[in-house]
Amino acid sequence: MVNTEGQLYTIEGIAASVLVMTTIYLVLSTTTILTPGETHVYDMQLEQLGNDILAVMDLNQTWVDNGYGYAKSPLQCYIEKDDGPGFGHRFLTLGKQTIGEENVAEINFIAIVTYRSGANINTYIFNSTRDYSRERAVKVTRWVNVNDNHSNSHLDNRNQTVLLEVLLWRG
Amino acid sequence: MAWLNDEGQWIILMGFIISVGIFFLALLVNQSILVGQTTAEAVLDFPKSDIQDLRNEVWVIYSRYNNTPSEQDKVIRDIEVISLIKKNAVVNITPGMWRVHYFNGITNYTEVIYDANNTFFYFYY
Repeated sequence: MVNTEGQLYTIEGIAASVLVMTTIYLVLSTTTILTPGETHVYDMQLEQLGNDILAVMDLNQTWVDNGYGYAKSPLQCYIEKDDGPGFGHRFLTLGKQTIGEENVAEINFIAIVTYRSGANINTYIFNSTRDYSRERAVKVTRWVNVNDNHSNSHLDNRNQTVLLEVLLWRG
Repeated sequence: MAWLNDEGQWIILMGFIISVGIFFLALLVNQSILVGQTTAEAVLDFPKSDIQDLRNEVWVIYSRYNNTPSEQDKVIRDIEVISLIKKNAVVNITPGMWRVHYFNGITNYTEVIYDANNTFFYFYY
């Protein structure tokens, strides 16, 4: 049968259980929220790495004038010769220079060249390691000035600036 | 009505105070972890590299085509049109004064990189 004794003990028990459950929830949520905060930091580092690689590749390796009135950077030479594989090899070599882990890092990319032809903007795939399937990727870009005396069949025969975009991801 | 034991009230009171203290400390820990995320997101959103790259390219154009204005205009047109389509950014380059303007809807940046008519300020390069 139902009796009315011990009502305050029952209420105290319910209050204590609510307190314990709230504490457990707070403790668990503080440990699991670590992950989403970290991934953005890794994206930031990867983007900086990609921009640094392109900046290094866009530096002239010599001050010698090779007949154009200026020295060319490796990046400009790769695009003028349409040498996608050469670019990709150099890019990955520079990207995997971490001390103690040379050539171990899993870095993949797709490089795209965008150029203007009259009133049209066209794009072609310069080089890629494999297809992109929705990994966490960052995009880095670099303007490259190309001489009119180039051998790239995609581009018009004139002095121009093209945009090199590299989609970059780990894994 | 049950008989209540009224001993140990100070112990219970201290227990309550400490539990409230732990509750607020847990809230602080919870908030502090979000700080790294917002900082990284702010860094990723700001087009630092775009602006650095644009400045560098304007120097390249200036040094290569300074004496051939017709080539200059074509190359500047390349940058302005491709920026609009691929980067969602309005870019405006004024040759001669070499003023660069960049606007992507959030970040607005204008700089006179090299004023050929007033070289006094550039002696320290």
